[in-house]
Amino acid sequence: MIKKQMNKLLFVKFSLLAAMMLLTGLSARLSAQTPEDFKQRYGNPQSGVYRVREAITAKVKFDHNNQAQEIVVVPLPAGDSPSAMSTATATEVLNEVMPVSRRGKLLKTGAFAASCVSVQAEEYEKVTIDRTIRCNSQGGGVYRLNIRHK
Amino acid sequence: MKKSLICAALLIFISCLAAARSNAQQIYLFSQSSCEQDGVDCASSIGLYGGTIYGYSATEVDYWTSDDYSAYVDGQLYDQNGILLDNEWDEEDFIAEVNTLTSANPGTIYTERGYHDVIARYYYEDIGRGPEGCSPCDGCNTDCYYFYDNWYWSDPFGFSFMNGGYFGSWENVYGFGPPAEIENDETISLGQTSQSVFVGWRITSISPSRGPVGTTVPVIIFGSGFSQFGSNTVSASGYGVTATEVNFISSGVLSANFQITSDASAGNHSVRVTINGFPSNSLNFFVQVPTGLSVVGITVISSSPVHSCWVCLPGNDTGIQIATQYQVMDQHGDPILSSAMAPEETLKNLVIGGVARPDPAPGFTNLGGSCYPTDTTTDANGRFLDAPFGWCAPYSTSSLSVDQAIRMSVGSSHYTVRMQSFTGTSSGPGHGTISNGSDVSASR
Repeated sequence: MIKKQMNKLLFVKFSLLAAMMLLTGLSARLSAQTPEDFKQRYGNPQSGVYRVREAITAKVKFDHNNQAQEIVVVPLPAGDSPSAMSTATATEVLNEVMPVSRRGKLLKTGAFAASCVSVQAEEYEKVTIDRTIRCNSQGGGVYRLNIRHK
Repeated sequence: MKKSLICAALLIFISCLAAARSNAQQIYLFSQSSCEQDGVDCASSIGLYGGTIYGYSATEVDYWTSDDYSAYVDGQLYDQNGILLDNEWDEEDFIAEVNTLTSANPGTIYTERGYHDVIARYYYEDIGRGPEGCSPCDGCNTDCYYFYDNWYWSDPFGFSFMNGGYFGSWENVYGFGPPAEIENDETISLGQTSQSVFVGWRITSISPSRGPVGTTVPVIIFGSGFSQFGSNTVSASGYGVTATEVNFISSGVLSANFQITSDASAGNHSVRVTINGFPSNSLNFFVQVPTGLSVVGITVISSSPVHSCWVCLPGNDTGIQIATQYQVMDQHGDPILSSAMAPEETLKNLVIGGVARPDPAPGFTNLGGSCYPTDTTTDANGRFLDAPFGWCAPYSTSSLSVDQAIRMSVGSSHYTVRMQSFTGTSSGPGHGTISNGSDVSASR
């Protein structure tokens, strides 16, 4: 009986260990920041531009420590009008290329609006994030993410 | 004046040649026609109240010639249908001259023709009869088998050999001889001079006299002499203005559509009406292109009710947003009344709270379509709304600066109408000022 309980406990421990290892690995993938990280996740870049989704690219500049210094995420153009990402997709990509855990504490926010365009600015301890958004009549959604390390 | 100068020049010229009697004698032939209205030359066109056509013809003989001949002229004024409108004649020792006149009508060619003669002064009478001694010698005496009474006029310079001719508006003729005697005719024809003047169709006004690029403007052309049955062709100089659907309303009114391309040349285009190949005078039609903006009104956008695309919201209300209505102006500072213009903007050098942000619109994008009621083109009065415009943050103070360029797109043509830099400050939620430093300024 005791042995059976021990085996069950060991199974739970191993399961937890496996889950932790899986989460660690997943976390490592989700917090891509070096060229290698980006390459593993998104494939080889072309002129510093990674294809992060089917129709979304991320242009990444790395600092001398090979850490992503500036990331600009834009959808590929389609036709004459600027393309836009849905808010959910933009947030998903943002969390991939700049995980919340790497941003630090949120210090400031602000927003600028001019006719069909608005910029939502967030300033964290370690990064600034700007979402440039278009109104629905001109495609609607996020058409650029600017992420910059301080 | 012109006539006097020409006559004076002629006299001087003739005087200079006066000593040349031994070689040849000179006669000057001249015709002129002109149109005047209120003292102004109206040859190209006349006003609605008409003008006057003046004709002038002269025959002028030099000093030596006048010893033996008188100058004679017959001036006749015709229209293009050959109808004689006026006729005058004159005979003088030196200068025979006549003035003719008639009222001027548009679309008419007037021609002054001068018929020039010299009249021999000297003659002798030659009476022939037979047989010798029959009398009286009056031609009725049956005793005479024959009788004649001929006059022989002296033509010492041989003008009778010239056989006249058709000349232009003036001519010098010389009597080179040889001397001759002309039987029973003292008048020697030297020829004919003539000059024509065309009084064109008249356009007195075009309404409207201006129109914006990229539009079709119905116009009314007022004037005189328009043709009900001929082709009234309306043309505009320069690039980009074409008259279509020209309709005859009356002899004084035409209607037409002026199609103005989006890249038409800015400014004045000369408009003429051509009928049967004869053009009218010209009047200007002004093509308006967007050149500037004037501010019609500014509204501060309230933070309540909340709209999803407005950035000043409860809890994020430190700043200000405004709605600015602009009027598009032309090169003269007049409003352009057209709905064919699309306002576009760039937004660069954005700084919020002292932190530089990416350019919101590095390339030109349309201003319309925001959740504020804006359109992608101007309204019929050439006005548009730029709204919302401003910034907000959730803090006690904040600031803004951004550069905006606005252009109006008409078809494939673009006209930059404004470059401006906005600055703004806010002392706290519900407060803010924003200004471009000149005509856009608001606070709350």
